Amino acid sequence: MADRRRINGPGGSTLPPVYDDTELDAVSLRQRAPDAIRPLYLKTGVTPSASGSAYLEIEPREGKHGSGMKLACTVHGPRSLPRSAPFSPYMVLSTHVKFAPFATKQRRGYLRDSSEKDLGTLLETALRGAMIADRWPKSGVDVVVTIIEGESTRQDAVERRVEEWDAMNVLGGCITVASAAIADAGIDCVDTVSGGVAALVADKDGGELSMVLDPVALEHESVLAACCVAYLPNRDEVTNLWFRGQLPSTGTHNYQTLVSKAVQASKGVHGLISASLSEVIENSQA
Amino acid sequence: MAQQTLLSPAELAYLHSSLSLSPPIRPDGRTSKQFRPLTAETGILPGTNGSARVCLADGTEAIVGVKAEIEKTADPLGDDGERYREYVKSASGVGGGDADEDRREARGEWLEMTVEIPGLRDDDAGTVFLAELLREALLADGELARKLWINRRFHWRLYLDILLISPPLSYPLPLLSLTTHLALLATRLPRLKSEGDEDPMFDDDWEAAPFLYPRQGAAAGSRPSITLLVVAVGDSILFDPSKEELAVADSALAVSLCEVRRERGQGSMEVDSGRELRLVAMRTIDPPSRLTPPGVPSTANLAASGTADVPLQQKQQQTADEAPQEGVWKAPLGGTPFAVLDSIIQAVLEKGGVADEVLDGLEGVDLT
Amino acid sequence: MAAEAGLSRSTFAKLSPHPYLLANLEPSSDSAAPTRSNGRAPFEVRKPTVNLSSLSHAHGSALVRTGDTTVICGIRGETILTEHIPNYRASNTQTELSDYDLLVPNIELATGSAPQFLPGGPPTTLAQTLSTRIYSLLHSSKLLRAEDLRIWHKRSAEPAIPIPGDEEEVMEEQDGEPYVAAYWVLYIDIFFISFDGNPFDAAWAATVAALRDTKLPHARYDPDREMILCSRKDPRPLTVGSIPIACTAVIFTGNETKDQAPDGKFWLLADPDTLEESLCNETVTIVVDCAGGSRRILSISKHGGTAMTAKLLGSKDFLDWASKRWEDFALAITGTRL
Repeated sequence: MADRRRINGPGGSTLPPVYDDTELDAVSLRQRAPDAIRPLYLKTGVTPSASGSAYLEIEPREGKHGSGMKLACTVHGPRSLPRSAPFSPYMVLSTHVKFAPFATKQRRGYLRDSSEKDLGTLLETALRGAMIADRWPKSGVDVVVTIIEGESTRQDAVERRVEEWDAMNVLGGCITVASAAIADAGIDCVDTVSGGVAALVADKDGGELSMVLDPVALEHESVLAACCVAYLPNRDEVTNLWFRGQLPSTGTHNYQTLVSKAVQASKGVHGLISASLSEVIENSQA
Repeated sequence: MAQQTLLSPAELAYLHSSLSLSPPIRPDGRTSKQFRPLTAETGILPGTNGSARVCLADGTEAIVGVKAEIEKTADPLGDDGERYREYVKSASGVGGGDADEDRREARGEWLEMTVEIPGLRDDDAGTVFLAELLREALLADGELARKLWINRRFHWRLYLDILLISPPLSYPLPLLSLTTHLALLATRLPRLKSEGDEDPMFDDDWEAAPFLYPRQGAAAGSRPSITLLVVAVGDSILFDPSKEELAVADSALAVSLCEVRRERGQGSMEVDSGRELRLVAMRTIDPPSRLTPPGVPSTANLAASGTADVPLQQKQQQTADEAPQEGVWKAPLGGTPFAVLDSIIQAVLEKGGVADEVLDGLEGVDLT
Repeated sequence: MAAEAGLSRSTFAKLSPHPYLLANLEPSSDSAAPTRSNGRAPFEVRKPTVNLSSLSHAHGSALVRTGDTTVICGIRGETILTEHIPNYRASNTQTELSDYDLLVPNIELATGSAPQFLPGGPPTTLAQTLSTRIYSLLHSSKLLRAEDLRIWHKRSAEPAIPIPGDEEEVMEEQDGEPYVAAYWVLYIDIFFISFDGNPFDAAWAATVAALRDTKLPHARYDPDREMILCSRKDPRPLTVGSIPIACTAVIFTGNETKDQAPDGKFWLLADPDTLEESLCNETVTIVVDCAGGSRRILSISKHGGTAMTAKLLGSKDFLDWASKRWEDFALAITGTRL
């Protein structure tokens, strides 16, 4: 049924453009070192009317057609729960993750689909462990992440079915941007949580396997397994662990190393968040 | 999926400390690695390609039905897009590379899954999370999707309907996973009579229909994955937690594994000698313990001690340092050290451990 | 006054914003110029900044920021075959855009852009109203030409396999009648990242800027497959000649309960922020296009209240202000002064 509260366009079905020529630039392979993460740009306070907000941009590889990521997050609250809500001894956290219609290759609708709800639940798990929720009884916090631009710009990505791996990168970005926005809102946390992703990739068919931090699926021949963690560096604890894929039964590539690589990636991201947050504090004091 | 437990902080503290003992004392007397007894049967729904029902001792019950339909494989370039793309490629002479890729290209979206839990909307975030978790585990090894491939133009679309028919007394993940596993094992698809890329024709003799997961022979490779729920309480690791145990868990992890059988010689009679457990997916589950009410130590409780003149400063200090007090329940804070997660995974993957036991148990279910 | 009551400036502003704004606009001493609570002069606007082509998945995009209001607009083209348009008539060459609904603007406020806009529910009344206003202005302003959205094809006697890239040649060889095989549908999605008043001006400016930035790929109809195929080589920009700009102001009467102050005094506050919008119920929006030095008014809308007279609407001050605002926006969108 058509959503009568939005403008829906023509009654017939419309199709996204189908291209019959190849893309102008060739697929580039990973240039970064295996243990290097992409540069991040993080800015807090982009939405002044919200309690806290942040904008995160992960730079594309090179040139215009890279696959970068742009995420915006707003945090509202803590504020009192509606009168109808039952008593809660804790702050009630609710998370929303939404892709903008122009964020991915396929146009997304305005209603949240199951992958967005799933990401929202994963994000909630990652954040809830970090927040000291008993300091705000009877109050609620809303964390809203809008994905302005997701990964995988190219048509290849759809054809090669690598886009499913992008969900992990998106979750990692969501955790990082939400963590910065929560810090901007001044909500007490045990530590600043940050997201990190690592993957086991094969570069040539049947070739050497290697583990890389902050993987971009398109830069590799295939991804065998990937792992996303939400990590509290000062407590050395993991609030969310998401692993998927197949690891070879023999050899050194086991899940322990993969998780520790993901932790390493999130430590790198954590350094960038703290640098960005302390810069804000210095500026406000100056 | 925040299930409200009706346990007082004192009960929670008691339960937590008894579960933290070595060996842990569980309320129902199980050992840490023991599953709750369950009854299972398959083939209960005659209108499906495969079905199963599992009933847990605590009264929770789930049924799963599998239906299969034939669907034309959509190609972004239309019906003969494949041919056209090749034509374009050979004409332009660029962008080859994937021309000779595996033709048995399978897609995850061929599996459609719904989870229904009484009392929850089917678009509830918790239900969606459960469905995605189960789906991810089933598709992780890529085997299931490959089995749905018929030829380059057609594939099976598998509808997996998972219904919890009792109220969700405990976190239903392991139950739903085991039921799904059994239903898929019992699933049969009609035998293909046509060859190559022509329109598929099937044998209408149901008796001749092969199992989706063949039981014997060289093809008996993979099995559908199972997902186990494991919690850590203190230093103990508990399998198949009940609702009360989940309410005091420090952390919870859903571990999905898949059994891979190596091909054995004809003479080998042992059933599980070639079994190899492979980790395919893991997710942290938000433990409901974070939403349990905290206890108030009697020293700070005005109603109990009757001394109303506790200095304000002292009270503030108590909240500030937040040192956990023995016997006073406090919801867990922070994450889980990786060492704990690691020991959970080790316990799951252990040879001859719980997973083996569960798989052996499921092996014993008569497939009809 | 505030000091006597023992209230700090910010507390006073929060507790009773209406008298606070009035006090700011009517300073007790003659030396102080009337200012608004946000420090701007009554007719001062927030300077717009525009970023183009910041999104890589969209065919055209723009980010517009005026003060604390930030909007992102992404435009995506999708194709629809004429045979799938239920009310298609080949003779219709005048009203295709509106008859076939080829422009689909939608505004999303529920990104937490302000505390009152949280996701989870249906679009708010404001979001629906804004979407409809953008929709009707897109059509009434005749910003786009239908020709840009048509995908032509020549019917041929015998179907020939089209050779990619040689579309022109094929067309010349066949002497069929050219007809419109399909249309582009433009999905215009406008997301508010931050909301601080005056959403319409920002959303409209973002739409215009994104449309000017939009480049659609070359498309042709393939009769064998009955579908549209596109080429990535040199996409074609839309023809957007004019730059209509919306200029909004609110009327503050200094009276909280009635529309009209007893002495008839009122202030026109240009480019209002959230606080001012909540204190005023009379708004006026004028859409102008001043390209080439001549001022064309595309639309005037005024809602609520009666303070704003026809005389004032036509006054030179008001229209000059609109021209000035048009120049600011046009400069920000095009990067050059027109």
